[in-house]
Amino acid sequence: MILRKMLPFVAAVGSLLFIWQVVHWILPGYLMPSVFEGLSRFFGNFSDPVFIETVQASLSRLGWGYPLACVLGATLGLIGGVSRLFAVYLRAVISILQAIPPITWVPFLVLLFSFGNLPIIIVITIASFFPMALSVLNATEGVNRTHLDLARVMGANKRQLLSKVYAMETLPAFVTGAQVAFGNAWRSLIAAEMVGGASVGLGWSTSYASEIGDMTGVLAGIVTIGSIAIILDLVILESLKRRLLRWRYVGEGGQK
Amino acid sequence: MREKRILRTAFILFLSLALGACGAQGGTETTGQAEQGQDQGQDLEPVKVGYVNVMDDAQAMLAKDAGLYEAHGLDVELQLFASGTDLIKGIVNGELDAGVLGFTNGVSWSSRGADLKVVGGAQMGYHSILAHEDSGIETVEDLKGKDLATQKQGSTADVVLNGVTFEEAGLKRQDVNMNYVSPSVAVQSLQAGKADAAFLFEPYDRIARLQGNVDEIYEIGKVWPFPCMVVITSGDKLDEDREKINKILDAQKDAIEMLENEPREAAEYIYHRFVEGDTFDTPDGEVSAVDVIQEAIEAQTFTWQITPENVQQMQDLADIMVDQGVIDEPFDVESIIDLNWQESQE
Repeated sequence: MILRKMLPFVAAVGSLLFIWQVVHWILPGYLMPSVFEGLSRFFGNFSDPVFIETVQASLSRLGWGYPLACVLGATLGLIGGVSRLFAVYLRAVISILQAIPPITWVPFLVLLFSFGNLPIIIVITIASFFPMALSVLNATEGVNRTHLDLARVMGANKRQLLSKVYAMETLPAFVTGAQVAFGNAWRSLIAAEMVGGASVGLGWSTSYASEIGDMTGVLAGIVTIGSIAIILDLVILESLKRRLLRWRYVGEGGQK
Repeated sequence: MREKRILRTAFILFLSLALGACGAQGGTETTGQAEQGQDQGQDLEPVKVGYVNVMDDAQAMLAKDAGLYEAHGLDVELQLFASGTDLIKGIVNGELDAGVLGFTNGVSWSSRGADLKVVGGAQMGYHSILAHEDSGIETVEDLKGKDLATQKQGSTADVVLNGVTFEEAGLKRQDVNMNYVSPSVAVQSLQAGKADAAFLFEPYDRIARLQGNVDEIYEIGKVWPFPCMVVITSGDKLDEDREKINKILDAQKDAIEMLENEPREAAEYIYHRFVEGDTFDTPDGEVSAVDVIQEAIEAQTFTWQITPENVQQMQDLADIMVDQGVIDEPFDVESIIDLNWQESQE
């Protein structure tokens, strides 16, 4: 059963590695190193303290920016559920943010907040805020009217409506929004580290490898960026989803 | 004070946008802007030359704008790159016939197996450190613990800063808060007080100084003049058509002679690449753009020659690159230097 579930994933990784190797056979080795060289560097990197520091720096920036965006997006999305006026305002903010690639904020943020982690964390927050807010906002519109009426009849105030009805009914949207927001957060983190004056981080180290013509380093960086994203998304976010939405995965008769 | 600073920052931001726009407009250029050369009527040979929109590459821009490439029978498409480290990729993948860039880029890629050749000189390094007046920085040593806005790690400027400037001052990379940004962001952050100092080249150095409140505390050209910018091509391009590469060098040699002997005339040809309009609008009033660019040209040393002393300096920098981990193994720079064209001139 597990093998059957894993098979498409293994096939996806295998086909990408195959394309990589074919391109290596076509291009000179200094432009496209082999899969073996790239993966050897990838695994070898984990015994290098500088590389570990680089991964930690990126994860720490993600650890600040992404949860902040999730909390902010979910809270504002929920408020949009109870206030029509605020919902219109929030949609306008989201449509503006969606239209601007998060990376374009970097030069401006560097001037406002100086160099370092803060501009990068803000870029992550901007990038991952709107999928989360939009997802929760949309879900509030689909909340069962009968449930709302029932709660009102039973004397629930706006705050109770938010916490007892809206929050519970939008939980699946929260989880889906968090997954989409994660993709945005991770991509913008790497991009911001490449251009935001950082001197540590996965985006910076991959960019630096490219600067000095170290294509093996670039490919090892790409593999690292992809692997960490997969681990965080498929393992951590997916298990969180199963935990939060446990009731959805429970079969009839209470059997899992 | 605060308002003045905000105004100054807004001005710099605008100026950088204008500079960026100039650069973007320059993306690729296929039409000549100057008079036809002596080969008028003949079929011009199409050529692609890469450049970066900085004063170090003035000879490539001038050869284009003053019609010098055409005069040597070339129809040059100038391809703009954001940095030398990007430009070298255009040469490595065969897209460009040649480019004017920092020679350490050639060393990085050659040491990994690319077939590249340094075929001529271009410019001796001009790199300055500007410090904010309030920063208390008066010497390179004072940079310890301060925020420095500097060029991309691994670039020629970065190798020289760490291997020569910091080395002489007894500093290490970790001693200074290094912020690797584009030159325009470096100027903006310096003026906004977000960086204590910036490591710059022309015309960004001059633009930053026009705004006041900064002092130049160091210029490597005064301390250790070295062959920073060179003309690089690939071994394949050289084997295919050495004559074509020689024509590029001939045209750029004419441009270098104009830059050295007639900086005013050269500035009139190329100033539009660095500013929109004819003036720089500074807090102290308008300054003629041609005057500013002329000063920036005069601050540089352009040269088409690579002397034996220069080759030794290149070797010294290649050795520094090994120490800095930019390349893995010691590299013999003579293996990529091809001075056939230069010898034919002498």
